[in-house]
Amino acid sequence: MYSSELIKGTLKTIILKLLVENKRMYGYEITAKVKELTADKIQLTEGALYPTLHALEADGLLETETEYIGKRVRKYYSLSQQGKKTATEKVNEFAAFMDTMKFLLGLAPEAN
Amino acid sequence: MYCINDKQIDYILNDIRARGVEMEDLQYNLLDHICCLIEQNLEENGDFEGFYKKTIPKFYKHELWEIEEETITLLTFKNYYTMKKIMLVSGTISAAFLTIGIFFKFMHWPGASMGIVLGITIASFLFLPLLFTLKMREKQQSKDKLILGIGMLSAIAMSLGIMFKIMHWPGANMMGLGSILAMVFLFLPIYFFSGIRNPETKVNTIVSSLVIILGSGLFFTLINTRPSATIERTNVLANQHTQNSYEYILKQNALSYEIVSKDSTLKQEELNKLRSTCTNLCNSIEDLKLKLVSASEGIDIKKIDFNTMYGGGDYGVPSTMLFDDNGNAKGDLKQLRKNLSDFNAFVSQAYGQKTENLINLGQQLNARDEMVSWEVSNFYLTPISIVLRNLTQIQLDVLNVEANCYAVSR
Repeated sequence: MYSSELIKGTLKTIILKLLVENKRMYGYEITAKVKELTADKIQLTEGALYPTLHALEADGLLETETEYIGKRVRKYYSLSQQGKKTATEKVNEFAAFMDTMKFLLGLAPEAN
Repeated sequence: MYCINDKQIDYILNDIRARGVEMEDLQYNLLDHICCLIEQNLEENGDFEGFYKKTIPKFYKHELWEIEEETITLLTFKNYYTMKKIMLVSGTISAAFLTIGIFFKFMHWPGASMGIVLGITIASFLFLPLLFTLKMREKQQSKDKLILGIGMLSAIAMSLGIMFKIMHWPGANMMGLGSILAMVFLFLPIYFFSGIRNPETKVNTIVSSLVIILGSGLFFTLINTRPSATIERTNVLANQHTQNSYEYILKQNALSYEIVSKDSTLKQEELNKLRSTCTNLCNSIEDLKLKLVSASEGIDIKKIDFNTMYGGGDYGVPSTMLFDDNGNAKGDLKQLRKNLSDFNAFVSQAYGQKTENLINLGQQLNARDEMVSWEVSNFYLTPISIVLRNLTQIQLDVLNVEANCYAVSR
């Protein structure tokens, strides 16, 4: 499991990218999916996930729909137009960042 | 898979609320999340309460409401950019208004005050508070926040004080002095000694402190400025000059009266009335002068030495003593006008004096080139030294009319 510090900086990117692939998801689904995809290596904490989801919604990157399951209310998140654009930007930015980090830490020569 | 019933849902929701999560959105998000966790991980006949109590602490470090706190922090961080934008825009607008206002003021163009007031108001109530809020977020220690708070409050008070001073509004000096004291004796020492210890901020701290001292010094000079010594002295001399003319003509009139009263062909009754009316008028004006100086300088009437009082610049006392709240003449000034107009009526009737030879009680120009009443023009919002001179001038006018009457009698 990676440290929460590492995850914190990439949480927005992870959420946006997941929503590109899966159209609409709810909170638990996101944590479960990340856990599954990374074979438990990345476990999103609730304390980090929900604040970020609310912030992304307030930024206009996410749209929400609510569904009632008995007495429960489930909130589904999906990307807005702006969110789709930002998702691509964030992923590209992070890819470039990883290249730089690899070079910086002497793990691989820089691509360019 | 465990199946959660409605009662259990209520139980969870109430617990989330009891743990201090107030945002409804977040409550339902957490509720659904916990329900999913339980449904996925608890076997069909498992212990619901025990599992719940074990699961919920995994959501937080110390308390559940930390999630809400973090959400609010992230949400307000979004406003950060909007606030920064508003701060920059309001700062620019206020600087522009202020510059235009000051330029207009120098050129004596209309609208100057509006520019200055708008500029300083925007700076004090929008720009500085926003700057404060944004800077506050950068500071971690509560000591830094305290320094920032004191600095901002005195800065706001100072800019408002300057505005009050420029606009001649009441309370300006008190505000100015208060803000300077807070700035120099409260903010500056704390700021200086905490900043100078850190090598990174040392130079910045010294420069900023010097600028603050300089600015406070300039403002202090502004609120303490009295009329320049030359102007005061010139006022004294001009007043003495008028006073000398008055005393000269006083003697002349006494002589003239003696001469004309020896002429038995003239109506003695009228001559005596003229003489006594003029003397009474001049004496009552003299009393008014003493009363005004005494109130203005706060000294006993007997100790008044006009030679040192003539330069005074205070205009509050004459205005409040002679005018009511609506700017209408009252008391002594009302009486003075009545006496003067009675005097005018008497000399025009008894000595056939034409209007141009009488004391002018009609509308006159004031310092702003507006036609205003005789009272306002001579006494309203007028410095005490000028009020005194105007009163001496009226005494002089009375004596001139008297002299004229003697001249036509002969």
